[in-house]
Amino acid sequence: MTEVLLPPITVPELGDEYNQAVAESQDYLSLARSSRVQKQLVKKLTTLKDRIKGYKIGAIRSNMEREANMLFHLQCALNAYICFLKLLLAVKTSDYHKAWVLLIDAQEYISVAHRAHHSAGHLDGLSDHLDKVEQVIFPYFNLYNSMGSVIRGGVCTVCSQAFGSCEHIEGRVYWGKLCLRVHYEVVKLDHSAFVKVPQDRRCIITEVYDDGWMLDNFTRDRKKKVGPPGEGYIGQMGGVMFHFPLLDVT
Amino acid sequence: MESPQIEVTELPDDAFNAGLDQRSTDRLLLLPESWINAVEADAVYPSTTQSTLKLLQAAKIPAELALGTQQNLTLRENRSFEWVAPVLFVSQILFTQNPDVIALTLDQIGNYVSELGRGHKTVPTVKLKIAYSSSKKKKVREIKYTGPAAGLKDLPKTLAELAKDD
Repeated sequence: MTEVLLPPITVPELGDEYNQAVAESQDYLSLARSSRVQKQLVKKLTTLKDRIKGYKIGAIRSNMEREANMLFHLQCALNAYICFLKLLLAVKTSDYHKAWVLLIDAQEYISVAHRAHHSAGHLDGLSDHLDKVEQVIFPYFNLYNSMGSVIRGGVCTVCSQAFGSCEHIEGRVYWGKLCLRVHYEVVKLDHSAFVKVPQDRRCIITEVYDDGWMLDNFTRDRKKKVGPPGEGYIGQMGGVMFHFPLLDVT
Repeated sequence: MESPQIEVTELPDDAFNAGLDQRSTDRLLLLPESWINAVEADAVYPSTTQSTLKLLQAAKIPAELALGTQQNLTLRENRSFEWVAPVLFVSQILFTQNPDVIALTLDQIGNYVSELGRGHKTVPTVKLKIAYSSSKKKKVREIKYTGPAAGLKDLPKTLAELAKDD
């Protein structure tokens, strides 16, 4: 793979580019705004995010952890805005499940951005805006799926060593990357439960039974005819039991 | 925000383990679930165990696993928004000779869990147990804490009351 050399730039200059891009996007964080422009903004923010990631790699290679973390903060913040715009586009095409996942992705990117660098709360406005969108657009989920499993092993996303062997702590940011345990072995699935406060709010009930039909749990409209439940059953439901978020956090 | 709950129970006689008690004179031990009479082959730890041990070691707090090694643990992963700690085994000797170890440990854990919750709308619930072992009375009392990370700082007081009773 050919490495592309990026022109020299300072973190504050990249911060200015970020501020400009975000200011331009703010006006389009609404359902009423043009889908065409929102798609253009997604491309523009993604291009900027990828540039920032390139500079982040440069900071890592230059042994500048503080700068790498600051750039990772911008990376996560941009990802949150990108998810927000994609959420609005998904709502407009009535893909509510996809929109819900993007909402949670955006909220998680904001959480990681906070851990990457103590900012002056510039993401608070975005966070509040996402909360309002959640309340207005989506139904209220009072219960979520929560699965328990027994696992072994795993690898650290920061250093790629066996997770038990390195010094990195899960959930912390090092060298512009979020430390997670990945590629672990699931020995067994232990239990499943409904909880009010899950670790992952993407794990929802997506369809419920009603009078011979499965209903989409977002629209409450009929999805498919299933007929009456069998003897001893009162109905059925479908949902997401487990989700591996493919967030851009390394 | 939910209120912290602290419960103290005296465990059955077979909970007292002279070997663990001896090992804990100068360090914390991290115990697996169902730790009473547990053997290494069957030991299952909460999934937070490896990060907890790394956290304590980075803060130069003397701590080790009671069973197994960091590289070879079986872990239970729960997907609710709770932070379940490994059981902390504390001997009476460790607490009376070095009470700061406990306060520092709980401070480290409290700060870490608060960090994890940064940017979230809800605060993670911490579930943490301390097994306090008295070699004088050959008894183990368990302190069970459920609540926000900020409430962990009150646990040393509970331990101090147990230590007075010895």
